[in-house]
Amino acid sequence: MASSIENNNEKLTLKSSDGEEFLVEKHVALQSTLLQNMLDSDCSSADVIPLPKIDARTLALVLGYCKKHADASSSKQGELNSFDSEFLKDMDMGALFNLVLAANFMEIKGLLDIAAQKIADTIKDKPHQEVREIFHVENDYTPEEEAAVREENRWAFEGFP
Amino acid sequence: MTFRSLIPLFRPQMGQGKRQRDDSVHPHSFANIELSDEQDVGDGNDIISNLPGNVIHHILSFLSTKDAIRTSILSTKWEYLWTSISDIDLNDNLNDTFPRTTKWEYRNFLDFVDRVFHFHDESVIKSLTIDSSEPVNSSLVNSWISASMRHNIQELTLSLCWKAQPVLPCHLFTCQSLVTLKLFMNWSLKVPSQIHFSNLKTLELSYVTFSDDNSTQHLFSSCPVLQELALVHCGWKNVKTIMICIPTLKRLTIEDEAIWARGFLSCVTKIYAANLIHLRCISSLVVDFRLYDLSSLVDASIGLCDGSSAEDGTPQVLGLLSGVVNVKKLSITSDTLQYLTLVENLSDRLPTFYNMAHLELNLDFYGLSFGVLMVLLEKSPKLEFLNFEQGFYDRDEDGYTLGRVPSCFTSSLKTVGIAYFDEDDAKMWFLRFLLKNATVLERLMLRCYTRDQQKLSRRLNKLPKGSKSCVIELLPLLRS
Repeated sequence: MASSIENNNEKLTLKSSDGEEFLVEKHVALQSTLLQNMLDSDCSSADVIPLPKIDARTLALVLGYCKKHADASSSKQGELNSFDSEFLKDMDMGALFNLVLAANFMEIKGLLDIAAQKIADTIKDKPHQEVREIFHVENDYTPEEEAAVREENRWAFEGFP
Repeated sequence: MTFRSLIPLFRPQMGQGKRQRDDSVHPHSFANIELSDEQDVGDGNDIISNLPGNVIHHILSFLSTKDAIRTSILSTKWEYLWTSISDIDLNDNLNDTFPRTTKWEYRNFLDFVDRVFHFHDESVIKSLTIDSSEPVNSSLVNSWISASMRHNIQELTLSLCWKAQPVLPCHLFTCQSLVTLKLFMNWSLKVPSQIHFSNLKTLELSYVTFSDDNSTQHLFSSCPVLQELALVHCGWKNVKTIMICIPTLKRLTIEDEAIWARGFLSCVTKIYAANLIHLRCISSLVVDFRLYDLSSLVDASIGLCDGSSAEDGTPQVLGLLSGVVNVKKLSITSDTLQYLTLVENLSDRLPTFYNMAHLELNLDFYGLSFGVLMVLLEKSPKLEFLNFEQGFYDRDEDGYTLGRVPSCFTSSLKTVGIAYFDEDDAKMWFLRFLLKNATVLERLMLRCYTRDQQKLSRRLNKLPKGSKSCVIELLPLLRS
């Protein structure tokens, strides 16, 4: 973010749900539209900003993502792309969901995109029984209802068990 | 009709989640920060079903239409979540990966398309593709078009078999949200008197028959920001002369094969596109395409089919080549060059391609006429790269009498590639000529079957070379 260069030294403090405080450079925080909107309004950056639903582990990941993207110049898109694909690699589902919720709440579009894409990739091309298992979705259809939903949407189920 | 019902018992609840979240998204004081209900993301819990609506929507947007609709069966909560998807791609084409276990009747597919519109929530439909070979009623298609326009459709692709001559809804032709329109329609295109595609950037018409000069001209004049135009196997029989003048056009594709049309040069289409960058023209000379003012052209691909037909297309070939004279990269077929074999004083009639650095000779290059090629090379003084994409063998009967050495051989030609290389007479003869005379050549890439490469390499390296630094590379054939 070129516009934030003059404020490069300013820092603000974010507080996770489990009470840990993170000192963040302003230009890194600006990756989040939520924080940007707050800083654009009258809020003083001297305050501690509580993020009551984001735990320290998730917040650390989020800020790592933001720092990489804030510091990289636009010419290094290739480097950012490989950072993004490494970033979510081997991440367990729990951490991934925490991340997607945090990205959604803090409005970090790039992070929301890659996390949602990663979840979508897990669903893609898999039979629904497998998807239910992976995400612990409880099937509350009766067998008759399930058969009816499947029949109504038969086109989408072509080739699936 | 096999559907359980057409009316949903409840409308999908996606919007609610989004609204809840939006309330908390733009807080103006730090005290406002709150998430919706606590998400327990521990092991064994169904987290995905409890994500905020907009996040689920976002995840679904990364899925194919099929995968998104299949989520309906996960649980009752998911039954209608897919109805907010903004990119809808529906086709009844046979799936090669999964052979059908049951016979999927066409009627069910069209009903299903109807059902998708019926259930879709209020949100935007950004793109819609319907691809079906089932005969369909015009009124049904028009209801889909109208519905998609109510959802601010941006990209519409219809590849359908209308049962009878369709009359598309008038308001389609003045639709402001439309950015891309692709129609695959084996019927005449009836256009209304009012057309204004104010935001249309891409227009692709396949198998469409144009009705007459006026309406066709009117259509192409009513796309003030069009950047890409593709006319694929269109019927031109009702058109005598039209002018396509689109200053914003960047890419033009014309494919026009003889089996789809009748008559030879029965229609004149004049094309003015000062900002055109990419041109692809595969034509059987049913339409006499005349190119004007293509001063920005970067690459062109020209393939005129069947040079052996009784009619003489030579003036058209010379015209097309003159039209693309500013091009940097030209790809041309052997059939096209064949039209020129009998031209007298070809050297005087062919323009000089002052900008051309890259020349590709493609498709079955069986009838290479060295005479024509040499004139083309002579007229390409800045040529750096020459590629025989499909190799060649010579049918020329003039016994390989080449004239003088093209000037690019001694000034600019750095790389030559020949596919399907073997040591037949024509290739070896051309190779000797090239190696001896191309004094600035740096690389000669020969793609060949991997028989005795070492032996071949030794033999080739013994040939006299005009360029001491030229490297001969033997490479395996590329599989396309």
